[in-house]
Amino acid sequence: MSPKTNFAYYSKYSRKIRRNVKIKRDLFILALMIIPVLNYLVFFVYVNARSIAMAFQMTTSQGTIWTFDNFTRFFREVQIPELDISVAIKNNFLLFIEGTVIGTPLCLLLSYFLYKKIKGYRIFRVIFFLPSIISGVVLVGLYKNIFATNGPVNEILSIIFQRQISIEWMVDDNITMYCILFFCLWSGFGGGMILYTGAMNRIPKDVLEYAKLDGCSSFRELVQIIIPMIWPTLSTQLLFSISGIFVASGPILLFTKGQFKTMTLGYFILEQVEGGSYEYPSAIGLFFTLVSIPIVLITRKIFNSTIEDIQY
Amino acid sequence: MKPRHGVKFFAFTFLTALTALSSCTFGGEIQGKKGTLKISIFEGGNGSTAFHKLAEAYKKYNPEANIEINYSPLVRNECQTAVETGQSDSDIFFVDGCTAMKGVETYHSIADISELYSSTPKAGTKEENMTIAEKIQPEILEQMRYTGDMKDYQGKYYLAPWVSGPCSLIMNVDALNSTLGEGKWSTPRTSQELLDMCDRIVASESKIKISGATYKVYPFIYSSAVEYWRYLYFTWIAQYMGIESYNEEFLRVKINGKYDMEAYFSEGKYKGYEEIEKIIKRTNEYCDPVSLGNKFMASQKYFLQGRACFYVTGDWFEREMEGSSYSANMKMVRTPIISCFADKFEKTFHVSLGADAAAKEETLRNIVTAIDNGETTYSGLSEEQFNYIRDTRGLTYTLGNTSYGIVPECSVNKDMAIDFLRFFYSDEGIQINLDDTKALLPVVGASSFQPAGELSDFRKGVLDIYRAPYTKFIFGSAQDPIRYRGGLDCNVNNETPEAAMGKKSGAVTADEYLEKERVLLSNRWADIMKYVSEN
Repeated sequence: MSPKTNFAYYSKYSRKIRRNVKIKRDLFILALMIIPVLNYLVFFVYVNARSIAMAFQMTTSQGTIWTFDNFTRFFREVQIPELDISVAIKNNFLLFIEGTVIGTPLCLLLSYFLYKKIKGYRIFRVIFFLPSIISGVVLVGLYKNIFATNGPVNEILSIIFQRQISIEWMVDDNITMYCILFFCLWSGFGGGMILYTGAMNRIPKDVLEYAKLDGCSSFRELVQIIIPMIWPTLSTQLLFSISGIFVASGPILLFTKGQFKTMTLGYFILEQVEGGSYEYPSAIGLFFTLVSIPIVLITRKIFNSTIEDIQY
Repeated sequence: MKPRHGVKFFAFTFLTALTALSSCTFGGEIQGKKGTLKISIFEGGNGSTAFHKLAEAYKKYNPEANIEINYSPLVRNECQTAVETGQSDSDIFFVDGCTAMKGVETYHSIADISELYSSTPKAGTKEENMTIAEKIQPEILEQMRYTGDMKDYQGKYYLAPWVSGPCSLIMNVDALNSTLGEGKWSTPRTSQELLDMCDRIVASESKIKISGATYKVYPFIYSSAVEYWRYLYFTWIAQYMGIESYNEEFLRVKINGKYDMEAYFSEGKYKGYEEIEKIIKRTNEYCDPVSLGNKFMASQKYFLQGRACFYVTGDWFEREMEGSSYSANMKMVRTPIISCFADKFEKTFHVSLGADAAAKEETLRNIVTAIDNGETTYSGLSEEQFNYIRDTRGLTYTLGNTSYGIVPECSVNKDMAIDFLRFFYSDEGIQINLDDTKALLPVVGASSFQPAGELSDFRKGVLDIYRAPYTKFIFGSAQDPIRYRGGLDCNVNNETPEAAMGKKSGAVTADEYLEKERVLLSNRWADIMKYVSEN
C-alpha cells in the first residue's frame, strides 16, 4: 500500500470512528435528556396548559362549557369573610411575614453566631438543624403533643403560675395559627442556616481581619461586610420566599385541615382538588400566578440594583 | 457541538420525548388480567378478612375462578384515581365515599351494572327467587341508581351496596353505672332525657383513675377529626322534618321539585342545631374539653377507659376497637327523639300531649318507651298518630349511600364481577359477611340472619335497631348534582357546626352559625345554580 493510499484509508477509517463516537455520544446525551424533557413536558407543559384551560371551563348538566365564571366566583368569594378563601389569603401573608420578615433575619443572625463559633456552636448547630432531617409527620406529631391541652407546655405553665392552665393551643381560633407560624419558624431554620453559613465561610478571612483591625464592631461586620458579600445567596432565598407568597400551604394538612381559621391558599386548593373540583382551583391558581409574576420580576430588579454583586 | 447541530439535536430530543409522551397517554393503560378478578376493599372498621372468606366460598362453586383480594386503607384513594383516570387493574372497588356520580357523568369511568339488579342472587347452582333489586332495602336501592340530571344515565344502576349499619348513640354502661349508680339510670328516649342525664353526670363530679392519673368523667367525648356528631343531629333534623321533607328539602335542597335556597334553612335544621349546641357548648361541661384536639382513636380509647359515658359513632365501633387494650360493657341505642317533636306532633294532629313542657316531655317519653317495648298502640293516640311517632322513632342514620362497590368501566372481567356480586348478595354471601364483620348487608328480611357465636350487648343493640320493622335509614348527603357537581358545602370557615359551636374561644351559637351559613349560601347560590339544571 502506497503512503498516499495508506493516508486515504486511515483518513476514511478515522472519519468512520469519529462518526461512530459522535453517534454514541449523541445517544448518550439523548438518553440523559429524554427523562428530564419528558418530565418537563408532562409535569410542566401539559399540567400547566391543562390547568390554564380548566380555569376557563365549567362542568354543568350540559357538559363542559367555556366561561369566566370561575374568576367572577373567586372575586366575589374573597369578599366574604365567612369563606375559607379570604382567611387563606390572610394566612398566606402571615406565613410570608413569618418566613421572610421574621424568619430570614433570625436565621441570618443565627448563622452569623454559628459562623463566629460562639461557645457551644456545635450543639446549637445540631439543635437547629435537627428539625430539617426529621420527618415532617413526626415533627408535627411531636409538636402537637407538646402543645396538647394536657401536654407538657400547659403542665409547665401550670407549675409556674401555680394554677391549672389548659390553653387549647391547637384548637383555638385566636392562637392556633400563631402556633403553626411558630412551628414553621422553628422548623425552617435548618435549610437557611446551611446556606448562609456556607456562604459566610466563603468570605476571605483577610477582609474580616482588616475590618477588625479598623475597630469594626460585630454588628457593623454583619451589616456592612457579611450581608453585602453573601447577598447573591440571601437575595435568591428572599426571591424564593416572595415567589411562594401565594402558593405556600404550610403544614396545615397535618395540623388542623384548615379548621380554627388556619386555612392557607395551598391547602385550600388541595382540598378542592381532593373533593373532585379542578376548575375553580385552577382559576385561583392562574390568578395568583398572574399577580405574582410582576411582583417577582420587580423584586428581582430591585435586588439586583440595590447591592452590587461582589466577586471574591 | 455546533449551534446548527444543537438546534437539530434539541428538536430531535423534543420530538422523541413527545412521541414517548403520546405513547404514555394513548397506550400502556393500566388494566387487570383477564380471568383474574381483583377486588380492592377499603380497610377500615369492618376488618380485613371478610372478602378472603367470600372469595374462598365463591371458588368452591367456581373452581376455575382466580380472585385477588386487596385490602388497604388507601383503596379510597386508588378508587378516586381510577374514577378520574378511567384506568385501574381492580375489577371491583368497595369504598366508603368516592365521587361516583362525577365518575359516571364526567369521566365515564364507572360501569353500568343494571343487569346485576335484574338478576337473582346465586350461590353455585342455587338461585334465589327474588331479584337483587327486590332483595336490597328500598331506601338503599334508590341510592344505588343514578339520580342526577343527565338523561343518558337516568334509571341505570352504577353502585352496589356494601355493609351499612346504624350510626347512633353508644352508652358506656360501666361508666354510667359507676357515675349514676347501677339501676339508677335508664336508656334516654328523648333528647331532653339525654340532657338531664348529662346534668346528673356533671353534678356527680365522678372521677376515674387510669394508670395513676385521675380524670373527671364527662357525659361525652368526641374528636373534631371525624364528623360523627351528625349521626345524632341529622337524625334530629329528620325526626322533626319527617323523612320525605328531610330527603327532599334538607338533602336535595328542593321545594316542590325545584332547587330553593330556603330549603336549606328549614325549621328542623334550626331545631337540630339548637339541640347539638346544648351538648357541645363549653359552658355546659357535657363534653371532655380535650375532645376537640383528640384524634378519633384516642377519643374512642378514652371512652372505653370510662372517661366519658356516651360516644357517637357507627356499628363498626366494637370491631374497630378490638385491638385496643381497653374494653367496656357498651350498648348502641337509637338516637333519642328530639323533644321539640312533641310540639310538631301537636301542631300536625291538633292534639295535646300535656298541659306544659314537662308533661309533654313525659308523655313523649312514655310513647317512645312503649314503641321500644314493641307495643303497637298507646292509650289516647289513634293508629295514625301512633304510627307517625313510631316511624319517627325508626329513623336511623347510616352511611349506606356512601358505602358501596363500583365496577370500573375499564374492567376486563365485568362478567366475573357481576357474577361475584350475585354471590355476594346471596344468603350464603350475606351470612359469611355477617359472621366475619358482624355487620349486615342492607337487605330486606335482615332478621332472618343470625351471626355465628355469642353476641356482645353492643352487637345485640345494633341488630335490634337493624331488625326492628319500623327502622328506616336516613343519609347524610344525597347523590344530587347540587352536592357532587355544585359543591354545596356550607361549612363556615371550613368548620363543621359542632367544631364551631364547641370551640373555647370564638364559639358560635346555633343561630349564629346558621346565620353565617345563610350569608355564605346567598353569596354562592347563583354560582351553584350554574352547575345544575333548573329542577
